Amino acid sequence: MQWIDSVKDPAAMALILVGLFFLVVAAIGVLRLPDIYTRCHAVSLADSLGAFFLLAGLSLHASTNMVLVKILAVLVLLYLLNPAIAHLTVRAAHRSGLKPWSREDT
Amino acid sequence: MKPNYYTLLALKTGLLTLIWCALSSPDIFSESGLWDVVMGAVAAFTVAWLNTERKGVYGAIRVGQLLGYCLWLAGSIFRSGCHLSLLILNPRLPINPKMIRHRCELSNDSSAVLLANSITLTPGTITVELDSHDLIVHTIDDSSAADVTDRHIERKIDGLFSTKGMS
Repeated sequence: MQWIDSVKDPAAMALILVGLFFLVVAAIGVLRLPDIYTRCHAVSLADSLGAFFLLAGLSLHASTNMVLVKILAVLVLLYLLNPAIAHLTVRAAHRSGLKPWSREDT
Repeated sequence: MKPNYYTLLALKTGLLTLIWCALSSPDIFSESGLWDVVMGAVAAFTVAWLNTERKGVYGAIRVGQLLGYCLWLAGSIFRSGCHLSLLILNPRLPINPKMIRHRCELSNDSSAVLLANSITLTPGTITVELDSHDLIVHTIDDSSAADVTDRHIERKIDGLFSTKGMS
Protein backbone atom coordinates (compact mmCIF):
# COMPACT_ATOMS: atom_id res chain seq x y z
CA MET A 1 0.00 0.00 0.00
CA GLN A 2 3.04 2.24 -0.35
CA TRP A 3 1.86 3.78 -3.63
CA ILE A 4 -1.39 5.08 -2.13
CA ASP A 5 0.57 7.25 0.31
CA SER A 6 2.68 8.69 -2.48
CA VAL A 7 -0.39 9.46 -4.61
CA LYS A 8 -2.60 10.82 -1.83
CA ASP A 9 -1.03 14.22 -1.26
CA PRO A 10 -0.74 15.29 -4.93
CA ALA A 11 -4.32 14.10 -5.54
CA ALA A 12 -5.55 16.11 -2.55
CA MET A 13 -3.66 19.14 -3.81
CA ALA A 14 -5.13 18.78 -7.30
CA LEU A 15 -8.68 18.52 -5.93
CA ILE A 16 -8.18 21.59 -3.72
CA LEU A 17 -6.85 23.54 -6.71
CA VAL A 18 -9.88 22.56 -8.82
CA GLY A 19 -12.12 23.68 -5.96
CA LEU A 20 -10.29 27.00 -5.71
CA PHE A 21 -10.65 27.47 -9.48
CA PHE A 22 -14.44 27.14 -9.23
CA LEU A 23 -14.53 29.50 -6.21
CA VAL A 24 -12.59 32.14 -8.16
CA VAL A 25 -14.88 31.70 -11.18
CA ALA A 26 -17.90 32.13 -8.89
CA ALA A 27 -16.43 35.33 -7.45
CA ILE A 28 -15.80 36.68 -10.96
CA GLY A 29 -19.36 35.71 -11.84
CA VAL A 30 -20.79 37.65 -8.89
CA LEU A 31 -18.89 40.71 -10.11
CA ARG A 32 -19.67 40.39 -13.84
CA LEU A 33 -23.26 39.15 -13.99
CA PRO A 34 -25.96 41.83 -14.30
CA ASP A 35 -28.67 41.13 -11.68
CA ILE A 36 -29.52 39.20 -8.53
CA TYR A 37 -31.03 36.22 -10.36
CA THR A 38 -27.96 35.55 -12.47
CA ARG A 39 -25.63 36.27 -9.55
CA CYS A 40 -27.42 33.59 -7.54
CA HIS A 41 -26.37 31.09 -10.23
CA ALA A 42 -22.74 32.07 -9.64
CA VAL A 43 -23.08 31.79 -5.85
CA SER A 44 -24.61 28.35 -6.05
CA LEU A 45 -21.76 27.32 -8.37
CA ALA A 46 -19.35 28.20 -5.54
CA ASP A 47 -21.22 25.88 -3.19
CA SER A 48 -22.02 22.96 -5.44
CA LEU A 49 -18.66 22.59 -7.20
CA GLY A 50 -16.10 24.85 -5.45
CA ALA A 51 -16.78 23.75 -1.90
CA PHE A 52 -17.35 20.15 -3.06
CA PHE A 53 -13.88 19.77 -4.61
CA LEU A 54 -12.26 21.68 -1.74
CA LEU A 55 -13.81 19.37 0.85
CA ALA A 56 -13.07 16.28 -1.26
CA GLY A 57 -9.41 17.30 -1.32
CA LEU A 58 -9.42 17.96 2.42
CA SER A 59 -11.01 14.57 3.12
CA LEU A 60 -8.21 12.86 1.16
CA HIS A 61 -5.73 14.83 3.21
CA ALA A 62 -7.52 14.09 6.51
CA SER A 63 -5.28 12.28 8.96
CA THR A 64 -7.92 10.56 11.11
CA ASN A 65 -11.29 8.97 10.40
CA MET A 66 -12.90 11.45 12.80
CA VAL A 67 -11.99 14.42 10.63
CA LEU A 68 -13.21 12.50 7.57
CA VAL A 69 -16.65 11.91 9.13
CA LYS A 70 -16.96 15.58 10.04
CA ILE A 71 -16.01 16.70 6.52
CA LEU A 72 -18.59 14.32 5.03
CA ALA A 73 -21.20 15.75 7.43
CA VAL A 74 -20.34 19.27 6.23
CA LEU A 75 -20.72 18.10 2.60
CA VAL A 76 -24.14 16.56 3.23
CA LEU A 77 -25.37 19.68 5.03
CA LEU A 78 -23.99 21.91 2.26
CA TYR A 79 -25.84 19.97 -0.42
CA LEU A 80 -29.08 20.10 1.57
CA LEU A 81 -28.86 23.82 2.41
CA ASN A 82 -27.45 25.22 -0.83
CA PRO A 83 -30.58 24.72 -3.00
CA ALA A 84 -32.88 25.83 -0.17
CA ILE A 85 -31.06 29.13 0.32
CA ALA A 86 -30.62 29.83 -3.40
CA HIS A 87 -34.34 29.18 -3.90
CA LEU A 88 -35.37 31.41 -0.96
CA THR A 89 -33.19 34.32 -2.10
CA VAL A 90 -34.51 34.21 -5.64
CA ARG A 91 -38.11 33.70 -4.52
CA ALA A 92 -37.88 36.73 -2.22
CA ALA A 93 -36.59 38.81 -5.14
CA HIS A 94 -39.37 37.51 -7.39
CA ARG A 95 -42.13 38.17 -4.86
CA SER A 96 -40.96 41.71 -4.19
CA GLY A 97 -41.37 42.33 -7.91
CA LEU A 98 -37.78 42.59 -9.11
CA LYS A 99 -37.65 42.31 -12.91
CA PRO A 100 -35.03 39.85 -14.17
CA TRP A 101 -32.43 41.28 -16.54
CA SER A 102 -32.82 40.09 -20.11
CA ARG A 103 -31.02 40.52 -23.45
CA GLU A 104 -33.90 42.39 -25.04
CA ASP A 105 -33.87 45.24 -22.49
CA THR A 106 -30.39 46.47 -23.34
CA MET B 1 -38.54 -0.37 0.80
CA LYS B 2 -41.77 0.61 2.58
CA PRO B 3 -41.01 1.38 6.24
CA ASN B 4 -43.62 1.21 8.99
CA TYR B 5 -43.48 3.13 12.28
CA TYR B 6 -41.15 0.76 14.13
CA THR B 7 -38.59 0.23 11.38
CA LEU B 8 -38.49 3.98 10.81
CA LEU B 9 -37.96 4.56 14.55
CA ALA B 10 -35.20 1.93 14.63
CA LEU B 11 -33.54 3.39 11.52
CA LYS B 12 -33.52 6.92 12.93
CA THR B 13 -32.23 5.73 16.32
CA GLY B 14 -29.45 3.72 14.68
CA LEU B 15 -28.41 6.57 12.41
CA LEU B 16 -28.36 9.14 15.23
CA THR B 17 -26.39 6.75 17.46
CA LEU B 18 -23.85 6.25 14.68
CA ILE B 19 -23.49 10.02 14.27
CA TRP B 20 -23.11 10.37 18.05
CA CYS B 21 -20.36 7.73 18.10
CA ALA B 22 -18.65 9.30 15.10
CA LEU B 23 -18.59 12.73 16.69
CA SER B 24 -17.63 11.73 20.25
CA SER B 25 -15.41 8.72 19.30
CA PRO B 26 -15.77 6.97 22.67
CA ASP B 27 -13.32 4.31 23.84
CA ILE B 28 -15.77 1.38 23.99
CA PHE B 29 -13.34 -0.90 25.84
CA SER B 30 -13.43 1.17 29.01
CA GLU B 31 -16.41 1.36 31.32
CA SER B 32 -16.96 5.11 30.97
CA GLY B 33 -16.74 4.84 27.16
CA LEU B 34 -19.44 2.19 27.21
CA TRP B 35 -21.63 4.55 29.23
CA ASP B 36 -21.05 7.22 26.58
CA VAL B 37 -22.47 4.93 23.91
CA VAL B 38 -25.44 3.90 26.08
CA MET B 39 -26.35 7.48 26.94
CA GLY B 40 -25.96 8.41 23.27
CA ALA B 41 -28.32 5.63 22.25
CA VAL B 42 -30.87 6.76 24.85
CA ALA B 43 -30.67 10.37 23.64
CA ALA B 44 -30.89 9.23 20.01
CA PHE B 45 -33.97 7.13 20.78
CA THR B 46 -35.66 10.06 22.53
CA VAL B 47 -35.05 12.39 19.61
CA ALA B 48 -36.22 9.77 17.08
CA TRP B 49 -39.30 8.99 19.16
CA LEU B 50 -40.29 12.66 19.40
CA ASN B 51 -39.79 13.13 15.66
CA THR B 52 -41.63 10.13 14.23
CA GLU B 53 -45.33 10.30 13.56
CA ARG B 54 -47.07 7.15 14.71
CA LYS B 55 -49.97 7.51 12.31
CA GLY B 56 -47.92 8.92 9.44
CA VAL B 57 -48.27 7.27 6.06
CA TYR B 58 -44.89 6.53 4.58
CA GLY B 59 -44.51 5.98 0.89
CA ALA B 60 -42.05 3.53 -0.54
CA ILE B 61 -38.68 4.73 -1.78
CA ARG B 62 -36.51 2.65 -4.08
CA VAL B 63 -33.18 3.06 -2.26
CA GLY B 64 -30.97 1.57 -4.96
CA GLN B 65 -32.50 3.73 -7.66
CA LEU B 66 -32.20 6.79 -5.40
CA LEU B 67 -28.43 6.19 -5.06
CA GLY B 68 -28.15 5.79 -8.81
CA TYR B 69 -30.07 9.03 -9.27
CA CYS B 70 -27.69 10.86 -6.87
CA LEU B 71 -24.68 9.69 -8.90
CA TRP B 72 -26.32 10.75 -12.17
CA LEU B 73 -27.21 14.13 -10.63
CA ALA B 74 -23.60 14.62 -9.48
CA GLY B 75 -22.45 14.05 -13.06
CA SER B 76 -24.96 16.51 -14.45
CA ILE B 77 -24.05 19.10 -11.77
CA PHE B 78 -20.42 18.82 -12.85
CA ARG B 79 -21.27 19.15 -16.56
CA SER B 80 -23.47 22.22 -16.18
CA GLY B 81 -21.03 23.71 -13.64
CA CYS B 82 -18.29 23.59 -16.26
CA HIS B 83 -20.72 25.08 -18.81
CA LEU B 84 -21.59 27.94 -16.43
CA SER B 85 -17.89 28.59 -15.69
CA LEU B 86 -17.20 28.92 -19.42
CA LEU B 87 -20.13 31.36 -19.72
CA ILE B 88 -18.78 33.50 -16.86
CA LEU B 89 -15.20 33.49 -18.18
CA ASN B 90 -16.24 34.26 -21.77
CA PRO B 91 -15.34 37.94 -22.46
CA ARG B 92 -18.60 38.49 -24.41
CA LEU B 93 -20.67 37.08 -21.51
CA PRO B 94 -23.09 35.18 -23.83
CA ILE B 95 -25.90 34.77 -21.30
CA ASN B 96 -29.59 34.89 -22.13
CA PRO B 97 -31.47 34.73 -18.81
CA LYS B 98 -35.14 33.81 -18.92
CA MET B 99 -37.97 32.98 -16.54
CA ILE B 100 -39.66 29.87 -17.84
CA ARG B 101 -42.89 28.35 -16.65
CA HIS B 102 -42.77 24.59 -16.50
CA ARG B 103 -45.59 22.19 -15.70
CA CYS B 104 -44.17 18.95 -14.36
CA GLU B 105 -45.91 15.66 -14.95
CA LEU B 106 -45.12 13.89 -11.69
CA SER B 107 -47.67 11.96 -9.70
CA ASN B 108 -46.87 13.10 -6.13
CA ASP B 109 -45.56 16.00 -4.06
CA SER B 110 -42.31 14.37 -2.93
CA SER B 111 -41.23 13.90 -6.54
CA ALA B 112 -42.09 17.52 -7.34
CA VAL B 113 -39.99 18.73 -4.38
CA LEU B 114 -37.10 16.48 -5.45
CA LEU B 115 -37.40 17.86 -9.00
CA ALA B 116 -37.34 21.49 -7.76
CA ASN B 117 -34.35 20.67 -5.53
CA SER B 118 -32.44 18.99 -8.36
CA ILE B 119 -33.13 21.90 -10.70
CA THR B 120 -31.78 24.35 -8.11
CA LEU B 121 -28.71 22.20 -7.41
CA THR B 122 -27.81 22.11 -11.09
CA PRO B 123 -25.80 25.29 -11.82
CA GLY B 124 -27.53 27.53 -14.37
CA THR B 125 -31.09 26.80 -13.28
CA ILE B 126 -32.88 27.93 -10.11
CA THR B 127 -36.46 27.14 -9.11
CA VAL B 128 -38.16 30.45 -8.26
CA GLU B 129 -41.63 29.23 -7.35
CA LEU B 130 -43.10 25.79 -6.81
CA ASP B 131 -46.90 25.78 -6.71
CA SER B 132 -48.08 22.16 -6.50
CA HIS B 133 -47.01 21.13 -10.00
CA ASP B 134 -46.26 24.45 -11.65
CA LEU B 135 -42.65 25.51 -11.52
CA ILE B 136 -41.18 28.88 -12.41
CA VAL B 137 -37.52 28.37 -13.24
CA HIS B 138 -34.89 31.03 -13.87
CA THR B 139 -32.36 29.84 -16.44
CA ILE B 140 -29.16 31.58 -17.43
CA ASP B 141 -28.93 30.54 -21.11
CA ASP B 142 -30.69 28.47 -23.75
CA SER B 143 -28.79 25.26 -23.08
CA SER B 144 -29.62 25.29 -19.35
CA ALA B 145 -33.24 26.10 -20.25
CA ALA B 146 -33.22 22.99 -22.44
CA ASP B 147 -32.11 20.93 -19.40
CA VAL B 148 -35.47 21.73 -17.78
CA THR B 149 -37.78 21.71 -20.78
CA ASP B 150 -36.65 18.41 -22.27
CA ARG B 151 -37.86 16.68 -19.06
CA HIS B 152 -35.00 14.19 -18.67
CA ILE B 153 -34.70 14.94 -14.91
CA GLU B 154 -38.42 14.26 -14.54
CA ARG B 155 -38.20 10.91 -16.28
CA LYS B 156 -35.39 9.87 -13.90
CA ILE B 157 -37.38 10.94 -10.81
CA ASP B 158 -40.64 9.34 -11.93
CA GLY B 159 -39.63 5.82 -10.93
CA LEU B 160 -38.15 6.69 -7.51
CA PHE B 161 -41.30 7.01 -5.40
CA SER B 162 -44.26 4.73 -5.59
CA THR B 163 -47.51 6.65 -5.84
CA LYS B 164 -49.27 4.55 -3.23
CA GLY B 165 -49.51 6.13 0.21
CA MET B 166 -48.25 9.53 -0.84
CA SER B 167 -50.41 12.58 -0.75
